[in-house]
Amino acid sequence: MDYATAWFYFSAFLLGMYLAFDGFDLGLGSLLPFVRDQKDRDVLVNTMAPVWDGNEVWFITWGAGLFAMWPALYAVLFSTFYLAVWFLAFMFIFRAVSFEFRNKYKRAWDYLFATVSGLIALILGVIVGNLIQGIPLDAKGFHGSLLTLFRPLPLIVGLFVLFAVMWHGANWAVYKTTGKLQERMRKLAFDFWILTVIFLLLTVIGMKIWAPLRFSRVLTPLGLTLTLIILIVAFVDAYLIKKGSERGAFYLSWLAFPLVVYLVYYSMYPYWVISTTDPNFKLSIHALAASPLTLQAVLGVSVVLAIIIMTYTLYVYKVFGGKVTETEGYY
Amino acid sequence: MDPVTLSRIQFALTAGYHWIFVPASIGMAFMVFLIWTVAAVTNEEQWYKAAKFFSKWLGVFFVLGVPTGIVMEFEFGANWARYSTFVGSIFGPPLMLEGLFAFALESTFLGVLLFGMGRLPKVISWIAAFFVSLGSALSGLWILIANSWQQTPTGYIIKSTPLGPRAELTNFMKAVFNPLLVSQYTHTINSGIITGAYIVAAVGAYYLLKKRHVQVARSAVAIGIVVLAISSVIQLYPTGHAEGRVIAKYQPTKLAADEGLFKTTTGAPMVVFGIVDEKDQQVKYAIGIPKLLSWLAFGNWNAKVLGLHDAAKYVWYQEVLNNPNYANEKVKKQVVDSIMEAYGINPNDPNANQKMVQVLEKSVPVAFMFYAYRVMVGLGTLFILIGLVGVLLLLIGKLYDARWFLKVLVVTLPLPWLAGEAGWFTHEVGRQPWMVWGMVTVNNGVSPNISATSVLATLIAFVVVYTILFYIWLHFVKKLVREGPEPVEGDVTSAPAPAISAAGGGQ
Repeated sequence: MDYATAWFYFSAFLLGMYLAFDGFDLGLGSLLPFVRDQKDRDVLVNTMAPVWDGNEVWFITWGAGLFAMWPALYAVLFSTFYLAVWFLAFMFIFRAVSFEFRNKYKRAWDYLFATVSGLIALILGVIVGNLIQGIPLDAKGFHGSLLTLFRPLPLIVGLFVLFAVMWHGANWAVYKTTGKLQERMRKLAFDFWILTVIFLLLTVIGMKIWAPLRFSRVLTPLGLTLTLIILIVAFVDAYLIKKGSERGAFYLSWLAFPLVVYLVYYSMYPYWVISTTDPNFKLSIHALAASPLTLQAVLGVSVVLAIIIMTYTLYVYKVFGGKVTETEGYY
Repeated sequence: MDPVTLSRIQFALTAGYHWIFVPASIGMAFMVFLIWTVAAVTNEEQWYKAAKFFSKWLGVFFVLGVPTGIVMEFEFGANWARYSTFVGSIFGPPLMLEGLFAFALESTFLGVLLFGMGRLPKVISWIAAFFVSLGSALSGLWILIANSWQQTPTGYIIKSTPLGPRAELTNFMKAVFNPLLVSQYTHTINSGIITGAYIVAAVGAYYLLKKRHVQVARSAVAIGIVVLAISSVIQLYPTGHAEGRVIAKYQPTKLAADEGLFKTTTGAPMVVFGIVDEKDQQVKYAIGIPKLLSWLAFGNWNAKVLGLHDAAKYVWYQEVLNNPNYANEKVKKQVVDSIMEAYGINPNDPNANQKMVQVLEKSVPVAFMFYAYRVMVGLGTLFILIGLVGVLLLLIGKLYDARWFLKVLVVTLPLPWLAGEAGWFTHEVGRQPWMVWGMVTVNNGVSPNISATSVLATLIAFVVVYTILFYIWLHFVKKLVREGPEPVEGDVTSAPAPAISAAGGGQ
């Protein structure tokens, strides 16, 4: 495997970890309006309070990884979708603030928190959806507008990510809470599981219609195997939710994210960008890559560090393991 | 205004805002670890209470430090796309390694520290404080590797690629340990420690003046003053001095602007204060110490210090046209021509080089640099004075009763931020017009496809959102002050009556 390919799949790992870890924060945030009782909301927020900051680091690292290893891609995408990118940045700011400052005017902050959590998941999905479908970019430049971002396939992928993190967030809440709140979350987990599966199928159909090149990669033996594993994970998860498992459902939805991200990356390989206006214009992960020494110099150390991070993250989750019943934050 | 100017304003605004929270986070992380350590060694209640209380302060700074940092990462791609393409494969890796090496450590263990206090064994809190402190120091290290590389780039070659000319790594360690790194890193981290020490001392002083939480407050003032005295001296020597010498050697235009030196001078004086007259190219009413600048910059009382015009000339001919790090003459011509064209200069014009020297000369706002530099150095000197007076009072046992001194500490609390911002502005404005010294200017680095309207829109959004956020943030700081640390036996803890009802209403 060449270095650009190795980085491509390491990038998939970083995005997968981001969605697996911060995904439940985003999902649980989006679920707050489905919970009426203020005390229950406080409990839910407290389940993620000690860990959400650490979870968000995966996103920063994924973004910085794109910048470091494909600087030209980073530059083109961020400057082309200038306003959308800043919208996302503001959502991240509002999320941090509404999370930490919610002691006063709780209800208002909670609705803001729910809105931005949902929007972050949706926009991330839309961005990935655009990479899947391709963008109207060719040698002459960009031929679209902000609306280009919101074509049917990217929107479907966006909703898929939104529902998936809500399913995952509800699974996390089942793991961390007790009693009536836990029951409520279990029901929500199943509801959003259904929506997730529906939108997964819609994504696959959408790929067949709008992104045939990507779709053909899904039909390869490895693509089909990954798809099958994802479906098994998803259906076992539904079984575990129905059976009333305490944490198994969460572990499986956690696993589902890196798997789906790997499938998406695999379907895109080796082209980051395919043009929708010029069939011959494609930007491959090799053409856009950083210099060979950059790719080589930090791959080993990055993999080792990722393993170290996983180790202490696991330790921290163990330290904060167990049910949360408190409604007080640290402030 | 054009996208370049607007993007520069936006970058300055967002970086300056980020810099309200970062030095305080770095410094508080260090102070919190120190206080947890003292608590573990002495096993005294007031130290544990202080440790828990200031851990919360660390959390309050961290809250806005993180998202305002994400903004910076986005900005490189969105507003400075050509710059990102040109140097991304060198500038990007440190940012990524920051996430993996440092930021993950810092964020994860901050959660352990804040939510584990009182629930987990004390030793776990101490270990968590250590990792947060280590993480923030490493985080700063990677960011400053990236920043210092742009100021004094080494270990690279500029090649022609299908994506256009770009800088590529030739030696990772050489790029990391570029000439500016060590002095800039120690100077910057130490400025954070000054800020953290100041906060701890001033918060303690406030409670002593109010006669609340007296035992915790005494601990805070004592440790804050001692750290302030040590770190403010280190800030001047060796770190500040060392950074100045690197600047003198590698960025002569920045040095000339810092000192308001328009004409090349042998045995140049160190101007303590004066009025800059950019039109007549001189510093009026200058009060200075003869020959000191020459000695400080080059270790020789009679050394020649380049004035702004000669410095610009030197930079253009020596550091740009004679830069050996180009793969071949063709790519060098391509880069140099594009720099000229970005300033409306025809590369075939026989006077092109003289015109570029003028551009370099005019890009550094001398008056701004001169005053900002003096604000930084002046305040740094004041901190040394305050720190030493405080230590003296501590040694003769009068620190806690010297109300005038405690008042000074509280009132001057904003000054470490002012000094830090002034320092960053001289550092970053002083390298104008270069984004990366000698190879990318702001005009060349800006995104080609963004409109002035879009940038204006985001700039306005930042002003509005950041102002509101600051207001809410201040509310939380006030709340933290009002609530104070957990009670230590024998202490008066309650605030005056009206404040209690206000606190109750805030719940």
